[in-house]
Amino acid sequence: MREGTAVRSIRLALAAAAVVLGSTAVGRASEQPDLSGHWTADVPLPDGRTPQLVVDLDRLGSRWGGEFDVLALGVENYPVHVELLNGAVKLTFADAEAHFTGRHSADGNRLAGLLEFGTQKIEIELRKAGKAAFSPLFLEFEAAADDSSRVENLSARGNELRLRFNSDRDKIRLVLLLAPS
Amino acid sequence: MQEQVLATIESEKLAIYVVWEPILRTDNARASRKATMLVPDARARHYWIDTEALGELFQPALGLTTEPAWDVYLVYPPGGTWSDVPPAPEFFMHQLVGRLPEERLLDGEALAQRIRQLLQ
Repeated sequence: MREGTAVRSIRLALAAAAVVLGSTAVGRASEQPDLSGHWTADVPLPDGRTPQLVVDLDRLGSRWGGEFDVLALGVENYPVHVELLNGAVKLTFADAEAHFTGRHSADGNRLAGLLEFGTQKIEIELRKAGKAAFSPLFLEFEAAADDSSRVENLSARGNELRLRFNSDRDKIRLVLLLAPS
Repeated sequence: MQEQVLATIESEKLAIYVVWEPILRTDNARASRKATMLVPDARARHYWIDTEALGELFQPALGLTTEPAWDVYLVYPPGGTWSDVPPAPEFFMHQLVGRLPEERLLDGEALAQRIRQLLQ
């Protein structure tokens, strides 16, 4: 998988701190866990430091979504992808190329599992500490994600772009080819 | 890009096309709609393509051989057109370290300066 600029910068931050997280599954899995909330976990690093992972999760329309911070590593307001897998919860911190897989406790206030980054695995326990608190920017991005008018779909050879490019032939044209993540 | 380049050039003689491609694992149409927030310029047209085909079409224009064109910024002067394959840009910059010339690594000020020169 190729790395974007954001990925590279976060990977460097994490690698510099020799971070990676993990955990053991505990508790009873819920059929439909309520993941909404502000979750925090201490991440014990090999160098003795324990930065805090903060994850805010909530239902965003018909799906779960959220954002995460590791402020001690300069990581703030990056998206979290949420999957429910046979009673387990998988959180993908895509911009850090890390993921957490764990299970809900019986009282619904803990998520214990394994945080994985590269070849490293660290056990952590996320504890719910109130309601999700999304950044304003996160909410703006989510609104944009739901607005299908923001992008035009291209066919395989980019014919729509070609036509526009040619019709703008009297202008300076700047073409950016980018990965969105 | 928005602050260092586009916001410094007010001309309506600049057309901007942003193509979001599926390069990373989490790239998809929804991510592309979010990413439009990163280039909010009113002149920008945003596109999403769900394959690497367009990036591959642009490979010859940049001399890329091992991967599709992405993380690249291509400048075209007035006049040229795109027939079967995209034309080579008059100027380009990139963030593909080690795969395109180092002297063309993205420098917002240099890119903006080149565009302004073409606008004069």
